Amino acid sequence: MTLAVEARDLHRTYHLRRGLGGGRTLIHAVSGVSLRVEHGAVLGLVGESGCGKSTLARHMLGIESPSVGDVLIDGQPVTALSRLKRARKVQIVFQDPMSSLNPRKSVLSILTLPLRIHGIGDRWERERRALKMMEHVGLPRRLLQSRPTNLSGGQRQRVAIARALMVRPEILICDEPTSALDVSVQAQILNLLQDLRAEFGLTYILISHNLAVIKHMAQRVAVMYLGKIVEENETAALFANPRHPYTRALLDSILTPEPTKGVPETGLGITFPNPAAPPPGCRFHPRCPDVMAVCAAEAPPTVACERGFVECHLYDQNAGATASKERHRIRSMTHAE
Amino acid sequence: MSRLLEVGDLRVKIPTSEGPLYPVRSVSFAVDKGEILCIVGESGCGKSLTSLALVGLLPPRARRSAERLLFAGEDLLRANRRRISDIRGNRIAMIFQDPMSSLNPVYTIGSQLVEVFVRHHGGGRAASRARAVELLEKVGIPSPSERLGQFPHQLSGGLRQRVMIAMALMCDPDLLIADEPTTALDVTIQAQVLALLKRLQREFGLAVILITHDLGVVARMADRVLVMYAGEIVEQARTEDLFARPCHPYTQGLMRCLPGRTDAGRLGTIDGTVPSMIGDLEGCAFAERCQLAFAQCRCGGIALAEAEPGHAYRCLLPPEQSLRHLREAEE
Repeated sequence: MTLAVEARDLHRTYHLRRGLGGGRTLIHAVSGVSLRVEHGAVLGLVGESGCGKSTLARHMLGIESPSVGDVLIDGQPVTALSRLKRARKVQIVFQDPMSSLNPRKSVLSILTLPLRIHGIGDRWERERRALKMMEHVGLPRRLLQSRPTNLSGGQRQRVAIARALMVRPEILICDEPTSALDVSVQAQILNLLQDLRAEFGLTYILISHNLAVIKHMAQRVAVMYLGKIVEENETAALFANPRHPYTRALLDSILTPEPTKGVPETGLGITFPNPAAPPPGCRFHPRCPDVMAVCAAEAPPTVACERGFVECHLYDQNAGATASKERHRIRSMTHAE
Repeated sequence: MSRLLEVGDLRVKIPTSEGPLYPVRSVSFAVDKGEILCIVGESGCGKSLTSLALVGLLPPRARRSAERLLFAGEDLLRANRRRISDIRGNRIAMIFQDPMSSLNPVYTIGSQLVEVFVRHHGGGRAASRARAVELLEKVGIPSPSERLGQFPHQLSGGLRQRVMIAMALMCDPDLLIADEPTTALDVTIQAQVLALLKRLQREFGLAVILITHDLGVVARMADRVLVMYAGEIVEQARTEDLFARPCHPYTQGLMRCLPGRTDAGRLGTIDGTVPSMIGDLEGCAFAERCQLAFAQCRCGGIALAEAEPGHAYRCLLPPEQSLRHLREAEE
C-alpha cells in the first residue's frame, strides 16, 4: 500500500539578507526530515515556534520546493504534480481564518471558488455542493451570503474547513486550527474534525503547540526541534514513555487543570536556539538537562524504539560508559515510577 | 491577611451606534496582599476591560462607574489624573500578552527600564541602571548588563516577556496585573515564565491579578478564581474548591471542553454564542446556552448564591443538581 505522505530526507535552507549591502545568512529551516504517514492516519506535529513545522507543511502542499530530498504524496513526488492535481490531493486549514478568508467575499463565493478553478459543475451544481458542505461542517444555510467579518471565530474556521474540503482532498493539513479560538469553540472544531475524518476518510497532519489537543486527536506524534524530528512514536507510547529530553520537557510543560500540582519545572535553559547557527552535535544540547560530553561533539544517532524512533545519545548503544550509565539511571527512574 | 484592593459594583459603558454597550456589568471583588487572583473567561467576557478600568486605561470612549474602588486604603475614584499616574507603574504594575507591542522598538531595553524608575523615584541614572541590572538578573536573563544596550527585536519572545516582568518590578509594586502574560509563548517557555512569576510573587510579597483564558494556568497559579461570562462574575471560589466542585453550568461546561480530561472520543461543547452586550440583560446571561435553563432563568436579576464559605455562584439551581447533570453527560 502506498503512503499518503512521505518525506525522504528533506532539507530546506533559506538565504536571509542582513540589511542593505550586508552579507547573507543561511537558515536551516528543515534539515533531514523523514516521515511516513499512512492513509487515514492522524499525525501530530509538535515543536516550538521556528522549529520548522510550518515549513514542512508548505513542502507537503508543494508550494515550496526542497533544497534536498523529496516529499511524496500517494507515492508521487509532490513537485511533479500539476497545481490543480496537487490541490485535489492536499489542502490546508490555517490558524487565523480572518486572515485566510477574503473579507470582501460571501461564504458562497469563498466555497465555490475552488470548484470554479477546477471547472467542476455549473453555477447551480456549485451552489448545491456549497450548501451540502455547509451542512457537513455545521454552518446554517442562512449564512450563505454572509461575509467573514460578520461571522464568529468558530464559524469562520468552519468556512475555512469547508473550503478546504470542497475539492475532496485526501489529505488535510491543519496548522494550529484551534489556537485562535476559545476553549468551548475549540472543542466544537475538534469534534467536527473527527467527524469529517470518518465521513470523508481523510488523512490529517495536525500541527499544534497544544499537546492536549495532539493527545486527543493524533495516532502518531512527531516532535520537532530546530529543523529535525527528534522523536516519533505512537501517541499512547510517546505520552506514556517520552524518551528524548525535549519531549519530556514538552510533556512536563502541559498545564493540566490540577490545582495541587503547581507550576512544573522543565529544567530547560533559557537560551533560545539560533537557526542560522545551530549548535554543533545534538542541536538540543545547550538546553538539555541530561547533556553529556559527546552531545556537543557528535550528532546523535537514530535509535529505534517500540514503533518509533528517538534521536538522542542517551539511547546510543556505542557511546561509551557515560551514556550507558545515563541510560541505566533513566531506566531505574522509569522502573521506580 | 489584609485587603489590598477592593472593587465594588464596577461597570463599564461604551456608547455605540446601536445603543450603549456594557462589557463589564456590576463586578465586585477584592484582592488580598500577596494573593494570586485569576480572572478567567472567554474572549469578550470583560476580563481585560475590568483590569484596565481599575487603573484608568480604558479606551477613550469607554466610561467607568463604580461604587467603591479602594487601593491600599486610598479611594481611586476620587484620585485625580496625576495621582493615578503616580500609582500606575509604581504601586500597580502591568504586563500584557504581547511584549513586542508593549516595548518601544526604537529604545534600548536599558533606557526603557530606567525610565520607569526615574519617573517614579527620581534619582541618578547610575542608581537606576544598577536596579535594572539587579532585576534582569532576578528574572533570569543571562549577562544582564550587556542586555541593557540591546533593542527589543534582538531578544526572543520569552526573554522579552522577562524584560516586561523586570520593568513591572522596577518600582517594587504591591499589585501586578498580568493580562494573558504567556498566551503568545511556547509551552516550555510558558511554564518557565509562570514559574518565574510565582517565585517573584512570593519573594516580593506581590498581589497578582492574572487574567487568562486557560484553565490549566488557573489551576497551577491561582489562590482564588473569578469566572466571568458576558461581563458578569458567574462564579468565584478558592482554586481547589472551583475545580473540585464547579457550581455554575458555564464553569462546568468549560471544564468539559478541555481535551485530555477523558479518554472518550468526543469533547463536551457549549452550544450557542455569547449574548449581545448592548443594553440590559434580562435574567441569566448564560440561559440561552444552558441545558438546564428553565423559565425563571430568563426573568429578573440573579444574585450570587453561596455554595460554601468563599465560594459563590450566580445560578438558580443548587450545585448538586447541575453537578449530577455534568456527571451524567460525561458518562
